[in-house]
Amino acid sequence: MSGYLEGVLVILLLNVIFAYAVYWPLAAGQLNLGVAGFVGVGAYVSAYASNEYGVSPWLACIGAGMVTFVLALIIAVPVLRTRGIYLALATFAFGQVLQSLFLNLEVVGGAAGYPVLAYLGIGGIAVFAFAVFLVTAFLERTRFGLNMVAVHDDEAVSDLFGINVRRYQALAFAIGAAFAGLGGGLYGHHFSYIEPQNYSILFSISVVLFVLLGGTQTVFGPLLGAFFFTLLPEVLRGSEEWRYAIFAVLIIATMILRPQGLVTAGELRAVRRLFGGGALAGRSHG
Amino acid sequence: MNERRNAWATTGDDPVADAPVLRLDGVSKSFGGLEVIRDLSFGVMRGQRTALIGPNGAGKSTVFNLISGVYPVTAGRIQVNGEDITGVPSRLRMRRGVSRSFQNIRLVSHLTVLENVLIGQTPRIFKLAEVLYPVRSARGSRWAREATDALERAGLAEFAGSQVNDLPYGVQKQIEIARALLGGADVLLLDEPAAGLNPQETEALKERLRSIAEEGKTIVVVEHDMQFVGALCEHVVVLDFGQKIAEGTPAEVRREPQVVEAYLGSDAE
Repeated sequence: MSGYLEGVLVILLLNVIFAYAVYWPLAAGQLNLGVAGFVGVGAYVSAYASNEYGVSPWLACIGAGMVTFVLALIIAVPVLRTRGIYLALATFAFGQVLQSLFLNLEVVGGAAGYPVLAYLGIGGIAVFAFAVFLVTAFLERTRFGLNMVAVHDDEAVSDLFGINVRRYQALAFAIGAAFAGLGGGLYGHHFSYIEPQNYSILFSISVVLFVLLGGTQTVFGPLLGAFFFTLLPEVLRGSEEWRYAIFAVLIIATMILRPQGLVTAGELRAVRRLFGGGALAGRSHG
Repeated sequence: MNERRNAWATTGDDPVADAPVLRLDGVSKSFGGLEVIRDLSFGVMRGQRTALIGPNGAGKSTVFNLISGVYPVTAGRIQVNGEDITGVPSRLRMRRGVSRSFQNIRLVSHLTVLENVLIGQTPRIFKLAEVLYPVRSARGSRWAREATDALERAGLAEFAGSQVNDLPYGVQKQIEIARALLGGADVLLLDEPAAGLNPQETEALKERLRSIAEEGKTIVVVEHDMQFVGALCEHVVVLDFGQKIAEGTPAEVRREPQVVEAYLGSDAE
């Protein structure tokens, strides 16, 4: 595999993981603009663990996901008291706080950044990206996923039917954060260097953007969004300086033509029916 | 089973066997300084079909919201199956025995019909293993079969895989009832189940509700269609300005001068 191709693939795989980090809270109706903060925590925690304690990069990355999961559950208590735009602002503020924390933590290099000694190749990242997709796709088929959609669509009715709305919202937020932390750890162990500037609001916004482009109604939306967002700039490379302008135009066009995202639940059901798939949705009664 | 019981007024203590399945005692509700429900008491017997009627703004839907816990009561007690549920959070009330539908259809629009009905089973799900079971893909599972059967009984089988938003209003109303039934509750609160239905649909709904009641469920409807109420219900509670002004069989309440006045206005003017 050429170095260029491998580089693009790694970014793609990481973007898939980050996409699901944003997808989970969105699936429960929350916009998390602080995802970069969780990615950063995962990157620093795992790098510190493997640098200072010789923890294997695999374990360090999984551990980073667990740390951000717990951190998100704690943060969820105050943050999820807010709604809508205020929730987005609260997560944004949280992300900013974390970024300035990284800037001032001398033990991990502060503004100068932090080298990561252990290395994780594309294979490991692919395994994790696949696992993230599988976990999400599986949970979506369960009652947990069903209840999550109910919470997203109508909190009051979900509550009356016995769904613990706050618990589902907190879990969605935390599962997303766990994926963010995992992705952060993988990033650091692949690129061997992390710095606070990586974890800015721009990062959060671009992930949210490509998840919305892909669509949040089905588990395939984020996947498609990540592909679209990662590969399109590469395909447009030939157009030199017009590259980003064309990219921006294509994004705007997508938003106009496909306001619900590239894949929607209805279309997915139609495809399933076509192939007589194992889903309930495809069941016909004779 | 089919023995008709007379309208039951909540006065005095009754032996448990004859106690109403749903009972409101002196329930009041104020929003700020505005009292929308005042000292409301009535009881509903098991298997009975009761209507809560009254002019617009009489507080009928508010009573449903109080029973299902959407709002806390300002005063009074609500009992289901002899258990006081006044302080029980709304999330747990279906487990205690009251389920409901909504005046404006409140189905989960991003789910299919069958999946919406699966949501109705939530009050009976306790184990983590069941929460993490891929029920949306396992059509043969106990829960999915039960939901499919429920749709079949409601005559909705053909819509199982459709997205709810694409379906006609009358069908969506029926899905709400099917969903409300699967929570295992004894008491079914139906907020204007016949509103927006055509005559054939209304007739079918009446039959359906009768057979549901015969299976032992207790039905309370808020309804404007008086013909529907007369044909379906054996017990009527009339509200006006948040107060009970009459209670009895449909024929009885129709004779009450206060009811006539509330609906048609007084002769004084």
